[in-house]
Amino acid sequence: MNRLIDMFSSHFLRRLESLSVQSRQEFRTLRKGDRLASISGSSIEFADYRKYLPGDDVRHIDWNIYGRTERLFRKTFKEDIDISTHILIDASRSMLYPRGEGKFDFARKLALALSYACLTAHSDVRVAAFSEAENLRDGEGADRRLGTPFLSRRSGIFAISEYLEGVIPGGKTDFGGDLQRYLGRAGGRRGVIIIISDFLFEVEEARRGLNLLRFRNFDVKAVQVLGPGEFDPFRDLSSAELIDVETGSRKQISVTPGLRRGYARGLKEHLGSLRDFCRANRIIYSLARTDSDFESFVLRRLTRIGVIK
Amino acid sequence: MNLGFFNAAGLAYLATVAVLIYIYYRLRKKRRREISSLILWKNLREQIIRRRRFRPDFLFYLQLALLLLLSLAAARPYLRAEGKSENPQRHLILVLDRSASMQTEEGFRSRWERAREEARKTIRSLKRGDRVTLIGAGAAPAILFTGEIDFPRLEEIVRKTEATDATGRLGEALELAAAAAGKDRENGENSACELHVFTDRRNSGEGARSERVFFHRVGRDRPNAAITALEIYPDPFFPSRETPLYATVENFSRQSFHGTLSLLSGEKSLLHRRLELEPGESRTLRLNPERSRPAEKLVARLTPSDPLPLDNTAYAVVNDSAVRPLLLAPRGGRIVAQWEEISRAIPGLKLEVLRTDTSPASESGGYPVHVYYRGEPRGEVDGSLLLICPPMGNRFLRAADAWLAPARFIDWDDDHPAGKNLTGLDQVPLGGCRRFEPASWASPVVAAATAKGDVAAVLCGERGGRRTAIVGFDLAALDLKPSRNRPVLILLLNLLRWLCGGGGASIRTGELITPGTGSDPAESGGNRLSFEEPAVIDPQGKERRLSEASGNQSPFRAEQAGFYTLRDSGGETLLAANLFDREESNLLEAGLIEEIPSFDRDAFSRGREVPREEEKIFEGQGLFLSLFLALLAVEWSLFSLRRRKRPAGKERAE
Repeated sequence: MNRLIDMFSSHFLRRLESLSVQSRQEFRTLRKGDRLASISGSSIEFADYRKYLPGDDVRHIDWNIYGRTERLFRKTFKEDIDISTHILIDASRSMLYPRGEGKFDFARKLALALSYACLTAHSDVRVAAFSEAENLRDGEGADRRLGTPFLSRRSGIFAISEYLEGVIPGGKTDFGGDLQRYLGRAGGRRGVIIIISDFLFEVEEARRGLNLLRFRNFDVKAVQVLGPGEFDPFRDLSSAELIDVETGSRKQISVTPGLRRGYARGLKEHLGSLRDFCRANRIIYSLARTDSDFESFVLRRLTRIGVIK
Repeated sequence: MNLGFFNAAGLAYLATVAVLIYIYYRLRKKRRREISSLILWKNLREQIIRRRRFRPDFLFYLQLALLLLLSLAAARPYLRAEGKSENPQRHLILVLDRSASMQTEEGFRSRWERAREEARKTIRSLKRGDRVTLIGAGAAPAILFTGEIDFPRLEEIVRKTEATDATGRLGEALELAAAAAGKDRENGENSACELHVFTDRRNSGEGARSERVFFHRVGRDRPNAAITALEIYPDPFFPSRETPLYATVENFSRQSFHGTLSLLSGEKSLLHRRLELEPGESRTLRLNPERSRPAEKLVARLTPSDPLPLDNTAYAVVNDSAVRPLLLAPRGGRIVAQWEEISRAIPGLKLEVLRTDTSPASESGGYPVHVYYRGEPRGEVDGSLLLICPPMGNRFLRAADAWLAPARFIDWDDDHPAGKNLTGLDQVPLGGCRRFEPASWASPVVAAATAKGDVAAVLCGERGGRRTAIVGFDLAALDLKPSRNRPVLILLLNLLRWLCGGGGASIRTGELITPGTGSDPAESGGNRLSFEEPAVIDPQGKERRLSEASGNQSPFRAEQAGFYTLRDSGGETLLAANLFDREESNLLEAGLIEEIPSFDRDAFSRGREVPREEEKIFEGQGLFLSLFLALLAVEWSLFSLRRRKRPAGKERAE
């Protein structure tokens, strides 16, 4: 079986190597990275002056200014920071539907591509799947919901690829609860968190989960993945009993022009609510259709809206 | 105006409407579909669909109209103007020639299809109340329809009737037509009958119209090459030897024929012979395939194909060549000693002597040849029969004189297998000979001169499907050892060889196959085959029982060329049926119909002339087909439009 990473073309990988995940926030991290943050730190890059306060390191006093003004000022320097990226992928059963439209495949390819961009930029990245399903365990019984550890070497892409290949979607989505449990397991390492999901649950639930991440001071980005069958579910359908694969609830419908219009309106409202909430809360949001070109989506769409740059 | 259908059975296609409704019903039927989430559907009103499963749309009505049009076109509706009532009714007698030559392909259609179309046109020219008699002139002429005109039924009969692979008996069919015309006069009908003959035979055209006899000739002179004979002559005395086949190929054309004669056993090709025949040339080829098995099916095929493919293929069956003649010697043992010497000298020839006190039931014990000296079998026998000096009152051939002496051989038939290589027979002294009355089934092979004139010393023929030979002189009186009597020994061996080989395995198409259950086979003139529960399997593999449970026997006529299997509880017998008719194969010189001796033109010249009315008839098949095609185009366009229609709710992935 081909590994996920083998599905990417060499051209696409080369393009990814020049990109990295962007963050709107700056996080002080223990590990020094390649990025210069505006916060003061210990790099050799000069940032500013400030008054000397007792307890400051005397090595940072600017004696030239003291000689001219007889006042003590100290130099501050920029901080070299590293961004930790969490990529969370929705592994609920709804990601398998509509059948044959490859929502989950699209999502894990996207997770892998973003991971590769992080790793080539020497950033820490961690990938995890979230779902209520008990089957998110590997052959040795370990909970796959823990995800991979933080990886920073380029060779970590194979571990991520292997992890994603082993995830079998199932179960329901409890978006807020799943995120809360993840944060509890992952510890307090803040950074960028990218949610890849179909967001086919109540908008209120989505808000609760995204707010949780915001309050924990994560830079949140959301990618919604939908199949073409969710935009037009009426092809070859006249009347049917619809079954929600996650909850098992049923609804009988008979396709009429009014029903078509109602569905389109409902879809628009759902997408609009999510998009508006993200926009109002400085969350980068993007909608992906599985029948769109994957490479174009990553290299153009995600760079344009600032997920990667 | 009259509205009707030429093919009312076509309306059966209306049943497809039910299929269409069922398909729509199935589409509308409640189906279950798993979706990722009901979130997007939550504000939509749930509809209980059970009562609304069948909701036809515009496409459904279009498809319904398409099916209706197709069914109507298949039913071939017509609209006919009513004829005038003051004219008396007409009686048309239609004779359809179903002979093998009618299968000749000419252009895109065969002669038979053209004749059938002509017959249809004639039938459609009739009006209600007219009478029609339709006669098929196949191997056995038969009245296919008679009575007041019934267009749909007649159309159906004409459609289902096909040309046979057999010689057509047009003369007998015309006799039948004349008899039908005569019956009209007996019934006091004043109007004269019209005879319409649809055939590929020529006619002189002398005043045919005034005599109310109409010939519809189909076909032109065509070149043809044919296999006109295929005979197997296994050597009964030496079964291990090869089985020679003799195929006769004739070129009925004005150009030379260049082709190949192939011999096949099933799918396996045995041999090929290239052939070049001058115009009108006939050639007999000896084909020596490798050792053949008993009951093997052999097919000879002539290529390239020509307008009449039927006679380019011939069929033959290899028979079991083991010989066990049965000798009955009620008058002393002299002939027994003579035949024992012969059987010792010839390998493969086994002799068993039946004692005179043996019951008749044991006589037919499966022997291929039964030989009776000065006697006759008491019942029917299974195999071939050789009667030497049968008694005067025998039931096979009546003897006119008890014994004519002196006598001498004078002539023999070289063409008959029993008359081969008899040079010097006329030098053999013959003590005397019995004179038999001529019979239709027997032909003289050897002639002898007596004081009362020339008589047939040896007669051979097929009687009830069994080869039978009758020797009129006393064979036992002749010493066969001296060389001067050697021709008589050769004659005897020829007779045995002929009696052993082939018997009954080859028939001509059109011959009757009836189960023989004790009645005299000579009365039927066909092959009588004795089986307890006989059934025949035709070349298409269809089985037909020859006798019903009640015991009534129904005749079976081999109308198709090919292999027939006769089956009963005891086993199976293969028969090869072939056309082998030079007149049917010769497409260059079609005979004149007026030359048929039984054709009584006068039978149709009496009676009052009925004015012919040209009736207007409108057949709607073309119109319905055109409408069907137009609607199909509309349906397809709408369907394509619907498929291309951009689905609602599809948005850019923005």
